Amino acid sequence: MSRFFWFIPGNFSFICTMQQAISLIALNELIKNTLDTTLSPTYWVIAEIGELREAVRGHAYLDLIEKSELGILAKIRGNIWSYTYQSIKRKFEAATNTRLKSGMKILALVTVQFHELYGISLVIKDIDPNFSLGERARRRQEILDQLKSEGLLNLNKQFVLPKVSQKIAIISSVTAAGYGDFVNQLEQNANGYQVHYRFFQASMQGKEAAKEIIQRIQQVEAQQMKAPFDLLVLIRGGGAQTDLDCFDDYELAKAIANAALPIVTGIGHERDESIADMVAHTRLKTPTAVASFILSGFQEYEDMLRRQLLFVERYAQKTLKKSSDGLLGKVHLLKSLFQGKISEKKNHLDQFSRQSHRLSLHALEKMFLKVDTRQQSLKRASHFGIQKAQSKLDQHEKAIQRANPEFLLARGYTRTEKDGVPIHRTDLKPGDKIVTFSQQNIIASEIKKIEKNE
Amino acid sequence: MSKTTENLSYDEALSRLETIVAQLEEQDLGMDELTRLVREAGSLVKTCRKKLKATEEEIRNSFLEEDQPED
Repeated sequence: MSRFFWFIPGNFSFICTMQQAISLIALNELIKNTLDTTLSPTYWVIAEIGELREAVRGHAYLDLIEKSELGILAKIRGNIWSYTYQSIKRKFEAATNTRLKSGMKILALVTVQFHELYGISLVIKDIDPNFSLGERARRRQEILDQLKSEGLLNLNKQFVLPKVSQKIAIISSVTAAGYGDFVNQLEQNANGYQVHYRFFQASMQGKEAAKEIIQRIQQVEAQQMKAPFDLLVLIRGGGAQTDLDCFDDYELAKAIANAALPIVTGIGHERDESIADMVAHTRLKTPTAVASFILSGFQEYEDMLRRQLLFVERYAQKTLKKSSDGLLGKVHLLKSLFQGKISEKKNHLDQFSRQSHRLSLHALEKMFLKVDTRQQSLKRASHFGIQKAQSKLDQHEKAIQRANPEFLLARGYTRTEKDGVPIHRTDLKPGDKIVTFSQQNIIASEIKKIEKNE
Repeated sequence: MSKTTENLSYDEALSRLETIVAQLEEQDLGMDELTRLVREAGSLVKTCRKKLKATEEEIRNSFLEEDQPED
């Protein structure tokens, strides 16, 4: 006979039924037997993993739940025994690149198990990864549709990447192998390009990853006002290819899309690109690929500079040659003009010289003529002077001749003097003694008588 | 012709000659003085003629040099 008791607060009274009571173990056994006989051995159940805990011995304990918008509709404990769990896990991760984790919808093959002591639970025999893949694809598509409708899908791609990205913000995990590769490649590039980077630590896998990455993006954006970065890289390389669902997170995608600077991803996974990849400005497969991409910007810029330098050099050479040719032409022209001018001046000079010579000769000739004339005049004047002098001498000679007493005496005339004075210049009286000169004789006489000669 | 007459210049000789001519024409000179002056005047005339001759020759020579072409 079973008995049922109700505890009624307030009156402290017990109500008993008349049914025969059984022990709890008996009840639990009854439940167990009922379940065993009523239920099928296995069911394929669609449920969400509420919580997953891996035990030390390799078993996995989890809660399976079903939710609606109002809240949790159903919940049951489940476990996966160690041997099965390892197999399921391997298969699941190989197919989906994702670990089994809370929040994940799964299609599980379960056996309902009731234990007298531990109660009801599900033993999970298998999990179909294809269901989870499809589910994830559906969720991805939902997120993508939302991003698209919000205009976020290509928003980050609107940025024009700087030709040379010198200041890089890196969001990664310091423990990630990809980060080390990335930094090595940047720092040890063969061309010695200097890339300034700042590291922002964030988990790159697991439940907290998306949240941390968003925080770091916000941190980088806050820095933009003070010391702006050219580029933000989100890298994660090496390690397990699982647990990358964080990169399909809507909030992370939104943060990437709305970021104040271009974001380049190098998440390093083999499967289809994540939503983070899709909303980022540029998606590259690995951190080293991101490093190469950044360095290639330097290289391209350097190549461009070289090309431009070459162009400038060629242009300068061409211009110089053109100018040189032009100058040469002008030099020739000037030379020709100068030679023409020189020739013209030379001709003028020659002409002038000839004219001067001619004029000089003419002037000289005139002067010669003048000298000749003067000479003639001088000759004439000299001759005249001499003649005049001779004439004068002749006159004097004649005068002398006239005065010469010998001339008169020779013609028979005589000269008579009284006391040395000619008698026509002195007074004479009888008795004066006079001297008479003839050509042959000097005659002394005395005046006897003076008569006038009329 | 006395030595003194030879040493005179043409103008001195001519001047002396003119003085003598004036004396001869104007003064009443004695026969001796007259004779001496006539002789001196004759000498002076000769001297003057000689000098004139020399001058004429010199003039002719100098014009002759001018006319001759230089080497």
